[in-house]
Amino acid sequence: MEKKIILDGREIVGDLTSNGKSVEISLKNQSYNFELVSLQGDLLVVQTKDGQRRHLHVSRSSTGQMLIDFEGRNFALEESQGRMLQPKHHDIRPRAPMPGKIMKILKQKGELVKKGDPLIIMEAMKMEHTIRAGRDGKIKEIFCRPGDLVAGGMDLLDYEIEVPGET
Amino acid sequence: MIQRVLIANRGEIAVRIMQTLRELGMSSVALMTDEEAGLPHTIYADLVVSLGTGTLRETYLNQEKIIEIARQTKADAIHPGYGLLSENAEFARKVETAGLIFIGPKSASIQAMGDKIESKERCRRLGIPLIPGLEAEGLSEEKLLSESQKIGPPVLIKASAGGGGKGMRIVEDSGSFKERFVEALGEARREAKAAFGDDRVLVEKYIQNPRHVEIQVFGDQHGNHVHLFERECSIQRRYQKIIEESPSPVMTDALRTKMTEAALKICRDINYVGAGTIEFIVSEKGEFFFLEMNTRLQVEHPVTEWVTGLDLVAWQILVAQGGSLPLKQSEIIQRGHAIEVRLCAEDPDNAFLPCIGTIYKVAHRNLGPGQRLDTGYHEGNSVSVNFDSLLGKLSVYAPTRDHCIKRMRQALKDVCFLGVKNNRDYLARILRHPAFAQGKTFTSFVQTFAKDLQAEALSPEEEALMLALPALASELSVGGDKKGQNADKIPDVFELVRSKLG
Repeated sequence: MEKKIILDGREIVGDLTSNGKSVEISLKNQSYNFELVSLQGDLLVVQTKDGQRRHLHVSRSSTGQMLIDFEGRNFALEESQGRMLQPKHHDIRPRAPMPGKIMKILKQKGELVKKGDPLIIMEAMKMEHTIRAGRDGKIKEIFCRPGDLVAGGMDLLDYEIEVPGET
Repeated sequence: MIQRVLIANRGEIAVRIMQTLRELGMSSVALMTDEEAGLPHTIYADLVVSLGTGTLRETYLNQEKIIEIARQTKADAIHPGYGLLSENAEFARKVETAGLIFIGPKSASIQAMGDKIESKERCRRLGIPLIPGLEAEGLSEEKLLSESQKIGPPVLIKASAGGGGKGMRIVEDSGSFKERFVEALGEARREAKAAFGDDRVLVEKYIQNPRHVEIQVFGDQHGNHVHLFERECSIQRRYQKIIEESPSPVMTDALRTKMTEAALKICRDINYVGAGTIEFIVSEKGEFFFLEMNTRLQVEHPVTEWVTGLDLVAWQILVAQGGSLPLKQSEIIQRGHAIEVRLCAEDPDNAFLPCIGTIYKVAHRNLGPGQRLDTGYHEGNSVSVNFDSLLGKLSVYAPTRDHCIKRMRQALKDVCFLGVKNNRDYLARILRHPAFAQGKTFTSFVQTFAKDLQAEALSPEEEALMLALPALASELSVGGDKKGQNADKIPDVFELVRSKLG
């Protein structure tokens, strides 16, 4: 059975055969076997084919993600269902990376910007953050004003990709 | 004698102060905002009073309101913690005027050392080495630029009234120095204005690969001053300390004598009372320069508590109520090694953006020997956007630095703050770095080794394990409180013995 997961926003696709407490995974032409040794509280103990034990702490968030603590590292795992979440190529609108306050807007509507140019300065969690252009382009629209409180993920402005040779 | 202390702070430091108050048999009054209900500092306190909702200015920085709450709750002293009102001379004076004890230095000392320009002038008079730079305040952009060109790049711009890395920028040597300087100056001024309400900045020569080494000092009201040795806090990101240790790996007896003498000279000059920290920059050649004095308890005070075995908050309270310092200099001993890391809700793999969310788990198991966690969060609490991103401070103690690094690496695996992205693995990467192990620490460490400090990709087998995880953990319920249904899979000891015996 084909199995897809999204691990910290990155998709991993493989083949899965489940046989009770033993799971067989085929990934990039390699096969792996994992056996569930114990699931107590949030501690999951898994044994690999060569007899090595891996310890994972797993919690399910209210949004259905699996929050994983794997030997000192954290991951968020989502099970991908149906259509894949492909990043949209035309989606280049800079967004507020977290909730905060707009301090300063450095560009104006119609202005040309180069990749890496500072566009907007916002403040969140007592620190100033600069939102920079992800690529070259021309500012089409600005959706915020200095002093605005914005939610995380909100579009801050829109710009068009500059076509080479055109000015 | 102090009976009841109002803590004009929040989070881990408020909890830390309460622990000592309990030990001393004093009661605590905590403050909170409405959104903070359920955080540990609101629970451990003997009494908690809400400041309502609103901006910091209307809540934790509202001096009149806080003093009024202290009066109403019959507190006889106010402990300001660190940050917020801790280095506000006006607040200290108002507390004194209200007939309450301010657990900190006299307002005059805060004033004398709080302004970076004034404090440097004092050190110059005392013959304490300073970094070449410009001391005049309130200069125009043109003047700052021309002076900076005279000093020569790299130049550091920093807020006159600042601290904690806010309002600081470095302008490196490059062709477009002028433009870069003007851009950085604007950023620094805005940050300074927002953080301190004062956009004055100063410029100075930036020292390459410097170490940040600070001396913990203490004074009482009877004119006694002692030092509690050094802390090295060179591992910083955006001028925010993230790893601190004591002793400093670069410290020699000769350098320690010179630096602690300089620190005590400053304390005597201002007749300092309470806990303070004198920060120095140590160059690659072993020269040291005065940076600033923090007239309060430091975030990283646990490191000093580990190596001296003393309770710094207890000492603060003792001297605030007129007691003499309990130990003479010769009785204060620095023993073993301690390291502290600051766990912050920020994503190291995405430009260190601050993260918010619900904490599902703080730690996997009880802390072991020589390990300490200071945190302002319990499981189930949320990290909100209105306060800083510090989740907790993990500190460890061991007889040697090598052992201490190993202990910290292990402790970091057990303390996880699951649910909110944080810098834990990034801290572990620093602790695994060979340069850190060799004690080659300097303030631009994380920029210099940025490539080595990137996250390692999962191996194909680990990726496969992640794919298998939903199926393996199918019996996991929300919140992870699943009974041990697979306990029978744990090998039976007798079975193992039998198989060994054949």
